[in-house]
Amino acid sequence: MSNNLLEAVDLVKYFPIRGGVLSRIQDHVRAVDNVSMYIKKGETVGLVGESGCGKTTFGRTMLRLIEPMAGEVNFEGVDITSLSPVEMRAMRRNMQIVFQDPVGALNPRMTIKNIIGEPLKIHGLAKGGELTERVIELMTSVGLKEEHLYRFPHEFSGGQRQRIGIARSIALNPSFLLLDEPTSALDVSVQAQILNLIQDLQKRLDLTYLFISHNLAVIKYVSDRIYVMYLGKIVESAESEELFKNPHHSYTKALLSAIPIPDPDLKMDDVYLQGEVPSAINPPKGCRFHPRCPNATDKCKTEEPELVDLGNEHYVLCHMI
Amino acid sequence: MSEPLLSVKNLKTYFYTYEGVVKALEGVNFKIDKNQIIGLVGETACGKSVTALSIMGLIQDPGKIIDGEIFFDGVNLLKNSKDEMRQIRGKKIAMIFQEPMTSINPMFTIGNQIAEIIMLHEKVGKKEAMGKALEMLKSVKMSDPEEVLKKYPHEMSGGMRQRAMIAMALSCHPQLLIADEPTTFLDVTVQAQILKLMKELAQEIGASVLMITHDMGVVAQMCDEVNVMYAGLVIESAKTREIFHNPKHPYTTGLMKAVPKIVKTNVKLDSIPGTVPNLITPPSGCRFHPRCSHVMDICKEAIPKAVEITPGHRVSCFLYSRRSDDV
Amino acid sequence: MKMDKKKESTNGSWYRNWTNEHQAQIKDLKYTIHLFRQSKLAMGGFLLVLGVVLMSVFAPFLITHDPYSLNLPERGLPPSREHLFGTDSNGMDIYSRCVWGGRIDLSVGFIIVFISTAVGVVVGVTTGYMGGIIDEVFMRITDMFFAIPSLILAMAVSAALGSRSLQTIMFSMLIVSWPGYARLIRGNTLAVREEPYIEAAKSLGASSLYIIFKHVLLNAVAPVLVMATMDLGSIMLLTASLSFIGMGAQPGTPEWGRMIADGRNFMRSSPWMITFPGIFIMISVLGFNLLGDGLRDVLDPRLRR
Repeated sequence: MSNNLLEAVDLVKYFPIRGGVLSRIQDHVRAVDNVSMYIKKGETVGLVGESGCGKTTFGRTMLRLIEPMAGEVNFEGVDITSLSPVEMRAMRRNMQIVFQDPVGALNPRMTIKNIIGEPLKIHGLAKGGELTERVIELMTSVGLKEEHLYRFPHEFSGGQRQRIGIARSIALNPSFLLLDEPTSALDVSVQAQILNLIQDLQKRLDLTYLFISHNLAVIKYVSDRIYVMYLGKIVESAESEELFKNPHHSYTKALLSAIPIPDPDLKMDDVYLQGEVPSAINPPKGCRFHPRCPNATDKCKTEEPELVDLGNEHYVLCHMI
Repeated sequence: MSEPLLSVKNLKTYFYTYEGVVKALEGVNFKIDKNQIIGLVGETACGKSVTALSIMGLIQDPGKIIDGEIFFDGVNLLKNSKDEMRQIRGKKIAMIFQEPMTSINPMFTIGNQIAEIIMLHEKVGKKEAMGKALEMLKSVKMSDPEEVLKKYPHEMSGGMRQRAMIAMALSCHPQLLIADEPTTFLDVTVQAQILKLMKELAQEIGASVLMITHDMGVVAQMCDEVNVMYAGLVIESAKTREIFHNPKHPYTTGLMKAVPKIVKTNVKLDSIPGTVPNLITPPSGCRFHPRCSHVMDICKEAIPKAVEITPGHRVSCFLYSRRSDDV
Repeated sequence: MKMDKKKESTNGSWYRNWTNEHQAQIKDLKYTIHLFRQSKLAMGGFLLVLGVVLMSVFAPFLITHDPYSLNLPERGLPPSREHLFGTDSNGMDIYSRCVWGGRIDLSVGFIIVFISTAVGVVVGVTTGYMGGIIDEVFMRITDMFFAIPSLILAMAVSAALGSRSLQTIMFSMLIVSWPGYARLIRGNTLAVREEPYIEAAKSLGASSLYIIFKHVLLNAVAPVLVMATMDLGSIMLLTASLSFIGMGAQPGTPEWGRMIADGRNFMRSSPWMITFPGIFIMISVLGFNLLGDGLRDVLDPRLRR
């Protein structure tokens, strides 16, 4: 039996595009195209990619907040895609999500106490004084103070709102947390605080993380293993150190070279990727990256590459290995 | 040493709101020389955007510039009339914003908008203006520039829109370009292209750039000098290398340690405790003192004045100056 | 974690606990009132409405004569000290009937608006959230309602029910009004549905019903409040119009529209019979419209702060 807590097998999600007089389905946005991923218990897996690559959709599909069109998601061996709505709602206690937008993720009309206590109420786990006690406990564990209990979200800074979101997500004692760009909207110094908090909680509460971000430095800091996504497909995955030392896919290499390094003595390489990310509606034939790849061959234009196992949990989706 | 292109002295901008007076800028000082790229770095509510808007004369009710001087090319902008400022905006000082979708008018084509600015500041007809617009699009390396002239903003990607905005801003060859977080919403690979473009174009036209950002990586790669802002004040300014390798102000040091770096691994991120202060009731004295690990009694009493500790490196901190120091 | 369930209340009086819990809502309310005060038109509307409401509430103390009793010998008298607004063709004191009429018109207005809003909101927010077929069907149904002018439709419903009484008219006005609110809140629901905190609630395991009534409703309802306030005026006008053409309030009822209908034949000779009820209608409708306008501006999130 594997020690994978969570596993996605060949997940597919397309979004229909309607148009024309009768709103017929004209085409699809191929947001997630046969993506597989495994996450071991206690790990932090990072998922990195640029906008439009499908990482957000993939995360949501994993949690069935968006229904997958095909494929399976196994949580501790149980295929959650086949659960009934009632069973799924109970399953949600194990898998929670921390959102990117600290402003939008909290109902502006609810007090902090109600926001953090809501999951407990929904699942009938506590009420009255007991609920308040538990909420205060959760608040202190994320660095908030009891006096914040009856305040409203708009009275807090971005970092504090993110803490509220985190407190809410651990209220049900989940074993898995999906962190969707949790620090992208935060200042640098606040980001550091939140990242430290997230790592701290992982140790204390024995959590497993899937951390989605477009920021490679942050991903490297938090992740044990990293998946790189491009236009609906995983193009490379490896352990953190390995990926940065030994990137194989041209896209990974381009991504690494494009990050502005906060050190004025280390000038960036000139590997500038030309062009824009193509639309996921009509992705290029064959290897999706071939129009922007400096090493593309004829084979790349017609045949989709297979996943190559380089050993040591390092996989690449490319013909040229 | 020639006159600086832009010299901001003791700029104070307050916002008079229902909840109280927001003291957004409490005496900002910095300068920009010709042909330089200067960084203005800081986190939320530090006042960097307010500074940019103050320079452009775009502060509106309930905001007011209550003190200070902004010298641009020898003229104090704060003494200008609205008409005089309108002459300067777009022609001598141009600005690009972080959200290209909302700062470009969605109702008009890109070509029309660039041409409009050209016609506004230079006395030329529409056809000639369109020709110049095309030239601008080519200089920002826009793919298919003839097609783009006829496109609407929503038909373009974020990177293309940002290029269009740069084209608009530089169309009249301004002397100063203010870029307010121009790449925050762009993907990393697109960001790299845009930054490279800005650097090249600025050099070509001979313009200076005020680069407003919170991304230390962008600062390191683009800027010659950096001004670090906190809660409405410039607390440190120096050449880029100095700021990174020799930060003096406790806030700057904290900031450097909080940035996750790819090159150095497994170094635990140091965070600065606490949060950014409320600017309606800011802390007494030095605004950073509640979060500072080196806080002294005097820090709670007065705002430290800037001191030049090495040539070109100025800090506002009582660790380096005494109350009687004056610069 | 067996804590004393009464811990919250023993920490202080229930009043203090309540204010603590709702502290920010109280602050929000104060700010709303402050904004409201700043608009002269809104305050004007509020005062007018307040005046009419108070008048109706204290009507028993304000009338000089019985609004229902016939007094034929005194019919057709012009305004005098005894009959402030004169008498009508049945000798009834117009002033007392105008004042008492407020009770009828206001209560009809409030009842209709309240019920149709409640029904409309529940239907609209549910179909808006569920989407799909339910939403499509609902849209087509309300389309049918909108295709016919409300006055005609109300008359048609009354005719179908075979009665012209005030109760019947009220029922038909209910039928006619609820679709408007439903569509209005549906529109807002479509927007609120996409907010991240709705997704957050889903991720916590909340059922759709819970989400609709706990999260979506309050955040989508603002324009409905504005429309309801202004509708109070329109419903009153509609009631008066229907009474005027003979449906609704029966002859003799001191309802403003009815009074105008009754006095119509005496327009030349005794204009006071229609003027005063008309003025009361005008003041009420104007008041509600100004109030609704002011409310809309105040609730507009962009104008706040």
